[in-house]
Amino acid sequence: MSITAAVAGMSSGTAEATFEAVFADAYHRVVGLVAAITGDQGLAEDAAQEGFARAYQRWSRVGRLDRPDLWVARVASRIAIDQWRRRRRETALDGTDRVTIPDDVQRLWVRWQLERLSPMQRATILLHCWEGRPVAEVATLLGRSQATVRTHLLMGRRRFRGFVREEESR
Amino acid sequence: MSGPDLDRDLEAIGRRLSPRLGPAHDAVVGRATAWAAGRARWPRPGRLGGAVATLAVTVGFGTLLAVGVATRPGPDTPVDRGPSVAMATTTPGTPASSDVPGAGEATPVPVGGPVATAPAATTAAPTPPGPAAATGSPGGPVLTLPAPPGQAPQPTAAPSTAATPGGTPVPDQTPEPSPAAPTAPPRFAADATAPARTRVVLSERDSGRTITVHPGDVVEVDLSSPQDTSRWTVPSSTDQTVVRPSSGSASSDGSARAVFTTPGKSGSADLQASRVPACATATPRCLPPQRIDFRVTIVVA
Repeated sequence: MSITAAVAGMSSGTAEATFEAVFADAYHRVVGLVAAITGDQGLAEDAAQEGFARAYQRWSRVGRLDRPDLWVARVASRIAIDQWRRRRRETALDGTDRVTIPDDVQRLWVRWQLERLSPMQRATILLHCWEGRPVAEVATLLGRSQATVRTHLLMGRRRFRGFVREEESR
Repeated sequence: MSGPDLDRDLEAIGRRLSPRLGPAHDAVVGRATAWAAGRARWPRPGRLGGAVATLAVTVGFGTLLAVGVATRPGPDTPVDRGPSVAMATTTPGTPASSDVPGAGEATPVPVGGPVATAPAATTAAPTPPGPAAATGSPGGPVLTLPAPPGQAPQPTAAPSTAATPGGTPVPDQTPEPSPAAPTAPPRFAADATAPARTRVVLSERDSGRTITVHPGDVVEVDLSSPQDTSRWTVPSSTDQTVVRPSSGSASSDGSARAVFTTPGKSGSADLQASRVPACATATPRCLPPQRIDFRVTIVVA
């Protein structure tokens, strides 16, 4: 089911059916997005479910949004980044790296030149490129200021000038 | 790079990582239902534990601080500096007996121990009459005996008939010594179990009395400055084998003070002093009258 169909289902059916439609349509992409941001498989699934659960609780409000899946993606991304930072501190204390990057995520990073970016930078670029959202909307989705988003994009551009230059011009 | 390409890649990764949509949906609904029930609204156990620990530590320190402040001895709290002695205590240097009928002169008390004076007995729980315990050490408890009969307005005897500030008459007491029952027993007897020696402070109002002490006790004679121009001589002992002077002095203001110890020999001795006119030390020197103005019989038993 596409997002358009899900929104149509929200207007014609019950709220539960609408959530089911959005969940069925966007769940895998949200999991993939969080995995691409953090590179952590378990964290991606947990954060995605957490985001959808929060959306389920607030569905009377979230369901009226233009893109409920983006709301879920934002919440799941922030949850994943927070947990990733927490785990990084624990890893720094332990001195061991317990996160193994899945192969398909590694390939995605190589393909989209996201290897050496931080999770926040990956989230910024992915959300900016995902559905072609402008900087202002990405900032809103990530709960960051537009300046922060531009900074992340700038840093990514410096590292991967050829990759971001085309997106910045949009 | 385009949105559909990235969307397709993310979809593929998500399907591989979490292929089954049904269990994921059930998990999401379960979380939301749990939150709705209020169970998930609580902080995470780690945060909750930290908050509880912080609160417990704060309350614990606060409680300890409050208990410590509440139980800290104040300036008016008597401090146990030695064996318990059933007597009233005042702070050193306090002229507690100066305004009480039947009391002796204000007794300067050496620093270092609780003091019991005769008038303070009205506020103390006196023990049965008897000789003062022969235990203690210099600087320990101090006994000041009541004034002898006929000399002070309030002669005192047994603790039950102790003088009161209101001037209640009390039975008279024979000042003469008696082998069976020494007269004028100290109004305060040290605890029999107390290992400390007792100090007995005598003033001029105790003149004519007989005091029974134990070997090792310390007897202090403190004669205050006379009202006239006379002066006290340094108190002396008639038998230094029984009551030995350890120190003595006479001040320019006419007062005199001496400390005696009882080395351990049983017997009796008189502590005596005289009031001499000022001319006895002037030039030309007058001949003072040969009289004893202060005499206390000490019985060491």
